[in-house]
Amino acid sequence: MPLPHSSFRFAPRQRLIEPPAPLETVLAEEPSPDFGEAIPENYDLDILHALVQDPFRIFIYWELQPAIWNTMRSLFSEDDISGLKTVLRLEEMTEGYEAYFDVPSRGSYWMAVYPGKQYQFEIGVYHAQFGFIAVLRSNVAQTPRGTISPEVDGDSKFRVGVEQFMRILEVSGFGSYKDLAATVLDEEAFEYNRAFEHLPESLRALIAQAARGEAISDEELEALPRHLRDLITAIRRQGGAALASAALLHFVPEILRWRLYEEEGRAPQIFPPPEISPRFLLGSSDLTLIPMKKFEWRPDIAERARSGRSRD
Amino acid sequence: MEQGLLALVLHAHLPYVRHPEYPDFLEEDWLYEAISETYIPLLFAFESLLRDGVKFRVTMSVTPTLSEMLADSLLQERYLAHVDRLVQLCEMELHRTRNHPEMHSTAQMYHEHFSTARSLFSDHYRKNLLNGFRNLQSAGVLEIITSGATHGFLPLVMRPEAKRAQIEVGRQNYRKHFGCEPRGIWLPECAYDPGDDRLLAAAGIRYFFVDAHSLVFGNPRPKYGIYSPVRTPSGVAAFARDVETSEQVWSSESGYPGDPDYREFYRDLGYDAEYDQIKPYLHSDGVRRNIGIKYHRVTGKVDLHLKQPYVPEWASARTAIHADDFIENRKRQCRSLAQFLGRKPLIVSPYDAELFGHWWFEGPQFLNTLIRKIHFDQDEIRLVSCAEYLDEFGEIQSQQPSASTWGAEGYNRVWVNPNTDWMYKHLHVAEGRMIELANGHQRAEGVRRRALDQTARELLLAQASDWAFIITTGTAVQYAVKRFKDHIGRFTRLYEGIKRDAVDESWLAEVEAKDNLFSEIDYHVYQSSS
Repeated sequence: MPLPHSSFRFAPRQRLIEPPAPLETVLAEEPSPDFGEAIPENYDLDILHALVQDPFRIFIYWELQPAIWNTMRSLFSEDDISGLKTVLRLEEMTEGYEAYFDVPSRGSYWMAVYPGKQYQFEIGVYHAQFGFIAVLRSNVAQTPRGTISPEVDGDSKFRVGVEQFMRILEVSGFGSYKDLAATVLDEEAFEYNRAFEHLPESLRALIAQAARGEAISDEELEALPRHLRDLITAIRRQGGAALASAALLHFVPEILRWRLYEEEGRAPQIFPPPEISPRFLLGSSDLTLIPMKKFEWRPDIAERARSGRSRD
Repeated sequence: MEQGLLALVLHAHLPYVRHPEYPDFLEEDWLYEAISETYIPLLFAFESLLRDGVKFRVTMSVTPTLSEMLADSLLQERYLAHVDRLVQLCEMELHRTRNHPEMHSTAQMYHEHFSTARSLFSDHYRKNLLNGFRNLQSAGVLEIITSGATHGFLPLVMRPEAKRAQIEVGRQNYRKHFGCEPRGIWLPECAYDPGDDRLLAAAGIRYFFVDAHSLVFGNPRPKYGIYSPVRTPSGVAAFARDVETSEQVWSSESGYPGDPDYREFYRDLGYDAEYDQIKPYLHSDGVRRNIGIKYHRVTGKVDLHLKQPYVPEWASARTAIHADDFIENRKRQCRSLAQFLGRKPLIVSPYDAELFGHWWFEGPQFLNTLIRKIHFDQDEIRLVSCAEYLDEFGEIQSQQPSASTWGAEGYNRVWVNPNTDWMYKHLHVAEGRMIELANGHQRAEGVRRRALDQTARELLLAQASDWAFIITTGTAVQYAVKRFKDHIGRFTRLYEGIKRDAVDESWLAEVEAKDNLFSEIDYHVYQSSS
C-alpha cells in the first residue's frame, strides 16, 4: 500500500508537552485572523466539472445561471415550465448506463463510482412529458483501475509470466494488501475484523480465500458487485485464479470502508473517512430517480440563455 | 561485481512565502529553517564528497518556487538576520550551559552549526544557495530537475493550456536559474494523469517520477515491476518509487530517524527556556514555538519530559551504522532482484529533501556517509542519475502508467476532499479566464502587459498543491486559506480590471511587489494552440 505522504513542510508542529504559559502581560495582542481577500461566491457562469478523487469517487460541481429559465419560457408553455426541474445526469461511457439526480441549479456532489470507467455528467432540465434536456456537459472523468492490468505486453521481450509478476507484486511492496487481508481475518485486530464480520457471508468467504492465496472461481466472484466482478474476471481469464486473488485484495480496504461507514455512519481511524454516502455494492445507477423518457443534447440552450436570445 | 543500480532522488520544495508587507512573518521561517538545517548541510556534504574524490550521482529537484525564494534579495537578507539571532542565542546558550556538561557539548555544536551556516551562506554562496547547486551540477554530481511552476497539482487542473503553463513556466524558470534545459521533472506530489506525459514531451522533458502503483497497475503489466522505468505513450520515461527504501527511511515505526540516539524534533528550546530569555528570539506575537535548538534525543517511546540529553557523538556513530545497514539491505535486494528479473534492477529512492536535516537532523551526515561507503567500501551497487540510466539502458518497456500520486492512498484524496473541494471552482474559472485573456491579447504593452503577466502569476500561485495539502492535514489552515483567497482575489480584480480596461496601476505595483516571482513570465504561455 502506498505510504502516507510525509513532508517537512507542514508536518504537525504540535506541542507534545505543555510549555509554561507565557505571561499575559508580555504577550502581543492577538491579531485578528486574516482569511485573505474576499473572493466571489459565484461567477455568473454556466459550469459543470468532474474531478476524480480515487477509483471510487468523483466530485462534481456546477452552476447553472438563472437566465436558463428565461430561455425555457421561450421553449415551453407556462404550464410546462412549472413541471420542469433541474437534473444532473450521469453517464457511464464504457457500458452506457446512466442515472439521474434531482439537484438545485447550483451545487456540488460526491458521486460513488467504479474503477476503470469513464464518466460524463450533464446538467439539464427534466419534464415528465418531454424528458431530459441537457444544457451543460462536463469533462470526461476516467477513474483509475485501482489494480493490476488484465493485459500482458504484446512484445515477447517484455511479456511477464504470472509467477514472476506475482513475485514482483510481493517485492514491490504490494504484499501489504495480503497482510491487510490476513489482518481482517484476525479476531484480535478488532476494527478490521469487525468490519469484515459485517460483510455478507459470500463476500467474507471470497476475501478469506483470496487472503489465503487460494484460487477463486467465477461463481465465487458473484459475491462482488458487477463492475468489480467483470474486472477481476478479466484478470482471472488472462492470468489465472492466483492473480485474480491478488487483484481482489487491492479492493479490500474499500470494501471494509464501505461496510464500516454503512454500519456506523462513520469510518474508524484505521481508514480516513469516506466522506460521501458510499454505495459500493449498489452502484451509482441505483440512485436513479427519474426513468429516462427522452434524451436531447442541447448545449445551445445555455448559450441562448446567456445571450438572452429566444428560440427561433 | 555490480548487481544493481541506486538512484537517490531528493525533492526540495517549499511554497512561495514572502511577505514584504510585514517586518516579521511566521511562515517565512519554513525557508530559513530549511536553509540552515537542510540545504546548506546537503550542499556542504556534497561538496565535501566532491573534494574527497568520491564519485557519485544524485538527482535533485529544486522547485521553481524554492529557486525564486533562494534568489530573492529580501529573503536572503531576512535569512541573515534570522541566523544572526540564532547565533546570538547560541552564544547565550554556551554561557547558560557552561555548568551543565550534558548540554554544553550540544550547545557548542549548535553554535558551530549556525555560525558555519551563516558564514557559508554569506561568503561561500554569496547569499544565493543556487550558486552551490549550480556548481554541483556543473561538476557532474548533482542532476537538478525542475517541477511545476508553483507545484500545481496537475490531475486537478482542468484545461490543458493551464497544465502546460505550469510545466512551461517551470522549465523557463529552470533555464533562468540553471542556464540549461531540464532533463527531468518532479511532477508535483508525483501526481500523474495519463496524457500528461504528452505535455512533458512537448517541453523536451525526458523523464518524471511516479509512485510504485503507477507502474504496477499500468497497462500492460510491467515485466520488471518498479525496478526499471517504462516508456510512456509520448516517449517520456517514468521512474517508480521503491517502497522498501522509502519505508526504511520514512517509517515512524522502523525508519532510521526514530533511533533513540538521534535528535528529538519535538523537544525544543522554544518551549523549554525561561520565557524572558527566549522571548527576544520568538516572533513578535510572543508565542512559544520551535526555534531549532534541541537538547534531547529520541530516547524511546516516552513522554517529552522524559527524553534524555542528546549526545552528538552517539548520533554521529549511528549514521555510520545506518549507512551500513542501508547498503547491506540494498545489496541483498539487488542480488535477489537481479536473479529473478534477469537484469540489474534500478532502485529509485525519492525523498523530500527537507527530511534530511530538518526532521532528521543527522540526515545529511547519513547521506554523506552512505555515499562515501557506496564509493569506497563495495562494488555491488552503483549510484546513477536517471538521465544516466536512460543513456545506458536505452530499451525499456512501453506502458501506460496508471493515474497515481504519492499521497495517502495513492490517488487524489489528499488534494480533493470535502475540506478542499470548494477551491476548485475558483481555480477552474480562473484557468478559463486566464486563457481567455491570453487569447484575447496577442500583443499587450505597458500597464496592460504588466497586468496580464501578474494575472498569470496569481493563477499559478493559487494553484500550488501546498494550500490544499495544508488544509487537509489541518496544520496551518488559516494561512493556506488566506493565501489561496489572496491569489484568487487578486486574480479576479486583475481580470476585471483588464476586461474593463481599468487596471489600478498603483495597486498593480503593490501586488507586483508582493507576488514578485517569475520575472521572466510571459502571459502568452496560456494561449491556446491554434
